[in-house]
Amino acid sequence: MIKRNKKKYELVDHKALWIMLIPVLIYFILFKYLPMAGVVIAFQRYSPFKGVLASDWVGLEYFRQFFSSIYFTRVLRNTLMIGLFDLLFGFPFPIILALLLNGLSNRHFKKLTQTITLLPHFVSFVVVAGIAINMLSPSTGVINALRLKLGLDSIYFLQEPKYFWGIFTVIKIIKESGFTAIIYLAALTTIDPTLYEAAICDGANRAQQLKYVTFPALIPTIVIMFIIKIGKIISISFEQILLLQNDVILSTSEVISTLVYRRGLVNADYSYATAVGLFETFVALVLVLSSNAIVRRIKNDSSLW
Amino acid sequence: MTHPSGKKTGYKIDTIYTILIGFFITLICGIMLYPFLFTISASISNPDAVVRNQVTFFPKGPVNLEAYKILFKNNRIWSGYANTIFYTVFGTLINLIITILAAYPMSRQRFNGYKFINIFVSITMFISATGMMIPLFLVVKSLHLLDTRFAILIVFAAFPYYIILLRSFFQGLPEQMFEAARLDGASEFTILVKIVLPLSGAALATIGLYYGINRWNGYFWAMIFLRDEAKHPLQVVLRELIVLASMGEEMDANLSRSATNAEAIKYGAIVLATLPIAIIYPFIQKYFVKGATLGSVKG
Repeated sequence: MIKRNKKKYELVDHKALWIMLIPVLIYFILFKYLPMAGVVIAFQRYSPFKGVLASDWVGLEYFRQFFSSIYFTRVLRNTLMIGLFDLLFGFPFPIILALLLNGLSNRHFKKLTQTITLLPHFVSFVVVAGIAINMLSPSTGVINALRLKLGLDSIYFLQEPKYFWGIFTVIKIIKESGFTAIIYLAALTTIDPTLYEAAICDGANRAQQLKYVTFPALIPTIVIMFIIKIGKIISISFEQILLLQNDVILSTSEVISTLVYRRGLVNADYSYATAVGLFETFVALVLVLSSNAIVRRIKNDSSLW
Repeated sequence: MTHPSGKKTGYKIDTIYTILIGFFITLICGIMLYPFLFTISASISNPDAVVRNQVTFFPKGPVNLEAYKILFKNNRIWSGYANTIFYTVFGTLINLIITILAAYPMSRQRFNGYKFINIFVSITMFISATGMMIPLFLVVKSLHLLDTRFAILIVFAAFPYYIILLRSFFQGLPEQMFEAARLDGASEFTILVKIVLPLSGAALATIGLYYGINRWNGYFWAMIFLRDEAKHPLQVVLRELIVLASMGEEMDANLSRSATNAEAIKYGAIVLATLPIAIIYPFIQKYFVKGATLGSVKG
């Protein structure tokens, strides 16, 4: 009995594991938790010379400034509209792509097409933005060359505010659909093949198989992916928008995250930018936590499906 | 329901269905490949043809490598390449080390810090990048890491998401194996290096490749942290060259002997930056497919 207890104690060497964690703890404290604590400067008139400890406290001053400025409605509208465009057009596309890929019977062709559709995901956004800017250019762009051939006017796409949401959505669709489709393709491989055999015995053609077997089997994955996507609706990557943005189209392309960049890192308006960032963090957190809770409930309630 | 005629229409629908799928898939692949094809063609075409919009699919005129010749002579491209290789190799190495050191203790359920470390790491996943942008910059600044190569390597030393993926993978390994090794007197470190890591080849390859691609493609924080052009990675150089299209004075002198060449050079730079990924991509694709589904399995 004593021997067993001793053995159990030795199953894990706590000290060794803590030693292993030392670099991890240092990293997380310095570059994750310290910045988290650093958001207090949103409530201060932060001065780099005085530091966090000596700067004056101003309460909600910067939040009030942000909420009452014209930027608030503008960046909120742009963020939500870009998110909504992505939801309406960007969400269905990977599903369609996965169904198309799944419908291919030639294995080599299937593999080749998956390789091609996945490729844009691994190309840097700098390159993607560079290609897009060149292709949309009014003087040397292919798209305007095509418009001229068709007898239409050349358009400076990236200088007209009204095109930005559409352009950004199309680029995201081309870049990310192949990657997101993998998740749906994985769900499709779990469908019991006997369901198809039964459907074929009942005389179902391939369109009917899609409607009565494939699509219903995908619905749980679609619902979960949709809720996750809503949870991320305001988290638009500043790294991507920033590359396609220019001063002329700020009215539609300025989102919360790029405003934080511009005010904070370009203008060194640290407290204001941190306040805006904190507002985004709060809204994003509420959205993500609610969407996670809903997903968990659906997964536990799997008898529904 | 089994009329012969009905069956026949069924087959007809199947044929139409197959043709339609083939058509749409080919169309989608065409749309996705076209920008790359165009970029390559434009980079080796006669520069005048590019400016006059005569290149649509394939290179116009005899193959023209002038743009590449100019790019190869450019110091910033080379230093960008060298820096990117440095950041990618050592950055990914640091990423993997920190990820493994975090994931292993996090996977041992009998460890007395199990709950603490799992919560400690998971919390950071929910904090948005936008909210952290300014405080993170100020932390790096106050640690006097601005404008150092070290900052690029260390500030993003691990992503909590990948730590949790690897932890889940480690937890899938049979627990009795660790306990048997412990009873034989193996230390935790020996178990990790001699037993766990050799069994985790595919998972480590997948996670390492994701980190590697992130390192290769990243531009934003390098642009923020690094003032000194000699330390800039390729993506930052590329951004200045093709996105801002406002070349520095040094660039003007070295690169654009004529405005027409400048166009071809932009396309050439895109090709040079993407080539390494395009070359290794077909060989590593299966790990990426694995990685995309790793997360969704665990939920």
